[in-house]
Amino acid sequence: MIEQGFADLLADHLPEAPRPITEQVRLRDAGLDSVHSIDLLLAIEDAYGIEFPAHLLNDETFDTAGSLWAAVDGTVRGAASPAGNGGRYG
Amino acid sequence: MPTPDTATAPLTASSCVEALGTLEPKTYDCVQSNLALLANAARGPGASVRLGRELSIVPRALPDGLATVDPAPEDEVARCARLLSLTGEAADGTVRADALPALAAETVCYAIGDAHDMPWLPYAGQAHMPHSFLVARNDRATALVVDAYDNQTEWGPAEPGAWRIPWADLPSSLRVWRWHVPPEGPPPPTRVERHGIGPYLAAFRDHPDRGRAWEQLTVETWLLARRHALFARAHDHLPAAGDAQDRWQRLAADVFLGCRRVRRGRPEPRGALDDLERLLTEPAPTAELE
Repeated sequence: MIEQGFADLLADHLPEAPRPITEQVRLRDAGLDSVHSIDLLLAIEDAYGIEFPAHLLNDETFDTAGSLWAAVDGTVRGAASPAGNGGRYG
Repeated sequence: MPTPDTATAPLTASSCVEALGTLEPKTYDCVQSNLALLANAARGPGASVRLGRELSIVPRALPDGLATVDPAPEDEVARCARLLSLTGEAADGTVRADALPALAAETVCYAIGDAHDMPWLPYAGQAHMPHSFLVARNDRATALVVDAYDNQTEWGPAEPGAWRIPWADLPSSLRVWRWHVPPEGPPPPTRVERHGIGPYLAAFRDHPDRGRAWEQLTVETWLLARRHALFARAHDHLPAAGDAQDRWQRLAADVFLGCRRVRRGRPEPRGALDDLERLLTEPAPTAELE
């Protein structure tokens, strides 16, 4: 389940996306191209105070709203963990 | 292979428009792309790949203390014309826009001006930089502009195409060439040239304005990635050239994102300048030929 604030942020960057924005929304189909994906990435980093690790910057992460949210959530949890885990799950 | 008669015929705007589909435009920079288009228009698909026979990385100083591997536009035009066996003449000095209709009345002209004043580009009104285009007479009031440049910019995409533009809306100051395309000779030999890499890297490491350094570094890695892509295309029998192309593209993407982060006040990404040094000092992709 994606967080409402994250859905609102996606909505700001994807005016063509169907509403409500659910985990299943495919970001490319919603108008996300390579230039806008950088803008969206930076906006997410600003909003959540994180920096996406390089291994998450790929097509799989930016496939759907759900996959992107999973990457954000994992990175936030990794950053909050005392040992840190570089944003990886588990 | 075109016959000498067709190869020496005046270039037409329609042949240039038709040739737009024959380029791989993301391997050329903004000066090269329209010379490549001329070559393909006159000689057929693939003619422009000769631009990739040379890999030249010779930095020059910029006024603000940084450096660039991008030659002055006139120097790059001369280098490309040599590789493509183009002959022609440059109009004396800077051409005012009101002189352009006469120059472009009978043949396609190649022009370089400020991208800021080219209404078909996303740079229009946004950024100043030299940019080339082809121009021919459409009618008394309008020019036919053909531009093969292809790039994603932060202001939107620059895409290959042709546009009818009022003469008065073209840049007011241009350098203009009229080219002839004689039959091509044997391909130029493979040549790799790299000089001045140490001072080039030091200029980026030591520059006091880190934001400016990263802006220029983005331009540099973009240029170097395209240059290696073009070299790899002209040397598709050399696996090392394709491998280098992939690594340059990854570095350019990393630096582009890093620059945007620095612009937002974030720390400089670690490792990008080390990666740049590694790529610029490793054996040339032609080492397996030696």
